[in-house]
Amino acid sequence: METTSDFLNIKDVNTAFKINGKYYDAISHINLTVHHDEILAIVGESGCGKSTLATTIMGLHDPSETKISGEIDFEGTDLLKLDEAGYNKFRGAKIGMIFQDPLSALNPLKRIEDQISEVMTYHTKLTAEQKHNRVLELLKEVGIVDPKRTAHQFPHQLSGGMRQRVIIAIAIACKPDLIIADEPTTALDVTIQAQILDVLRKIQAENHAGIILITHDLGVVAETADRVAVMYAGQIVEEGSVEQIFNTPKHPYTRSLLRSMPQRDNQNDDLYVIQGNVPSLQKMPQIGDRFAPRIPWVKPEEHEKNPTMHEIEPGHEVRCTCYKSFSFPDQVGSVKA
Amino acid sequence: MSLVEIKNLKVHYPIRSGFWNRITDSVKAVDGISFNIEAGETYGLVGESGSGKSTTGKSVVGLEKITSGSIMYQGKDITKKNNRKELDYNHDVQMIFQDSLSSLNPRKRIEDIIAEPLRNFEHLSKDEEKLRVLQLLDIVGLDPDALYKYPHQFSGGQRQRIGVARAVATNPKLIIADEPVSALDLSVQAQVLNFMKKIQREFGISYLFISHDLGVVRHMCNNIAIMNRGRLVEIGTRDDIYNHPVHIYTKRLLAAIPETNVNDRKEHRANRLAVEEIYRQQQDKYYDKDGKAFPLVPISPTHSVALPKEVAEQIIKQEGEVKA
Repeated sequence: METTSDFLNIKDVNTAFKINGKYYDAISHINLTVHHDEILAIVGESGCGKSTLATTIMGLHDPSETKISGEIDFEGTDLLKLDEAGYNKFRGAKIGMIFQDPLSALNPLKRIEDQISEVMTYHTKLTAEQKHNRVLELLKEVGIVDPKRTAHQFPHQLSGGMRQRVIIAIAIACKPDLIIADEPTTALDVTIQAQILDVLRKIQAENHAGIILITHDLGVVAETADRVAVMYAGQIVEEGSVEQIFNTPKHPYTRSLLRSMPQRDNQNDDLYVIQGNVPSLQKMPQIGDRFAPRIPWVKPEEHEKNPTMHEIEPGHEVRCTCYKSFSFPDQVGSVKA
Repeated sequence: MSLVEIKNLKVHYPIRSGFWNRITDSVKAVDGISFNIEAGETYGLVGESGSGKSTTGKSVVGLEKITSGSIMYQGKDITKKNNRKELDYNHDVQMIFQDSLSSLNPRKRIEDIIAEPLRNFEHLSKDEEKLRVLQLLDIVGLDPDALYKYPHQFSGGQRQRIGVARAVATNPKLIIADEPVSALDLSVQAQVLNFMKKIQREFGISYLFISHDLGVVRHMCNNIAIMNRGRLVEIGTRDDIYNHPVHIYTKRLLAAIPETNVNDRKEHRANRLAVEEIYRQQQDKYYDKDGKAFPLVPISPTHSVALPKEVAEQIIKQEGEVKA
């Protein structure tokens, strides 16, 4: 297998959903690359299209209800051109997925061992004994203390953190090159969350996999990711290394998000509130900057007519030119990007 | 006198088993906790899932039958029905729930949802009632046309604000907020938190703020209690808990909060792993032989920790040396 550094290239991908007979874009013109040995975080509020992007890569959309265009180049294959049977060769084998809710992602009637070995039955030619050994090995790898016992249990007998570990074990069973983790720790306690993120990082380092980490928690991103893409209303509005995004955020949306977090230095003040709401699919503005309605004090001429991504440093890209003169109304003139 | 004084509260659920389905054991969801809530303050109750924090909240509102202990409100024990009536307790104490969708009746219009507590406790004419509901909508920043809509027509943040409007409808003195923002996005969370602070300033409401999110709790609460396995392990002011934690469980929780400062992430992680290691090795020092937390011992006028006195002093001394 050839190992080029960037093995997943998403080029100009649009996914549109059919609502009342008309198609509306949930994500539009997404360009992203994922490299081996990196964790790419995708952040944004709910309704920004993060999960749609994940399910588009996994090919989980019903073709009669969605229209997808563009190209997803995964190690030389365009995933979007594959039929269902072709896709099944990738899902679970080369692409693993970790879901948010570990209880509903596991089959309640099957023992943990059977659920993990199921993937290997589909994608490998291992014997029963080899599979059994691999299951124990996987459970150990994700940090389960007594793999033999856990392998024999049912999902309801495990705690939330343990279940999420089992989901990770299933996702990595066939050593995928790409792991998509959709809010893997949202349902978990902070201490368990920290452990799960450690497991993800360890697995990524050992398998040289690329991980797409989808989350709304900026703290998780800052602690885990190597690169970050910020999504708003179906578009990527800023992309860069984790240092670039957190130390020198440029796009008004990124800056607003960071400012609305409760932090050590604003514990007695009111938090910053982003005006308005994320637009729904039907009401998505088709021209102009989609974030403009939420920063109404910025003059229209400071936005681009058709906002595109601008590279401001190597690896750091921002959509629209309004970032240049943007400042919050209560800090006018004090901080400028 | 504090507004609410909780003394040695216990809530045990029976486990039945065997041939006669007799009570063979019990789950000690809340096992002897005491704390006071002052008028006009926000008291934070923090813990992981299963620590008993929601059970405590429900007991204070009266949704949970308590096993023993007392909850004193204005000097009277409200676990007794007669006292609740006398004090108008159900009128003065309201609750905000975590899941705004399931806590609003899908078949009722917003007008009826917000007016329900008013209809229960205050006898207003139709016009007065409508005026009051409109006022409440205005306080939470919703348009008057929300009156005739149904819960599903609102976004999560708007629904949570409707829940808040319903909770403040009777001008309560205490609101129990059980994870009020954990289902919300960052920007909406900021809205709801700001708003909760605003009505506190205006109406002098006290909150019992139950949450697992230490970042939000730091922002909202003056006094904080950390709960673990049905017991309190540490109580103190915000400064005590965040800057001088003593119990290993508190330290572990604090170390696990993800920080947005990317430049120190290596140190932060090393610190977390170190605390985790101490937690694993020295568990028996911090918990008694049944795995329960020790009784709380005061180490300063505001700060108490669940450790034998000698151990607590030893830890504080050690930390002083490390810093010096």
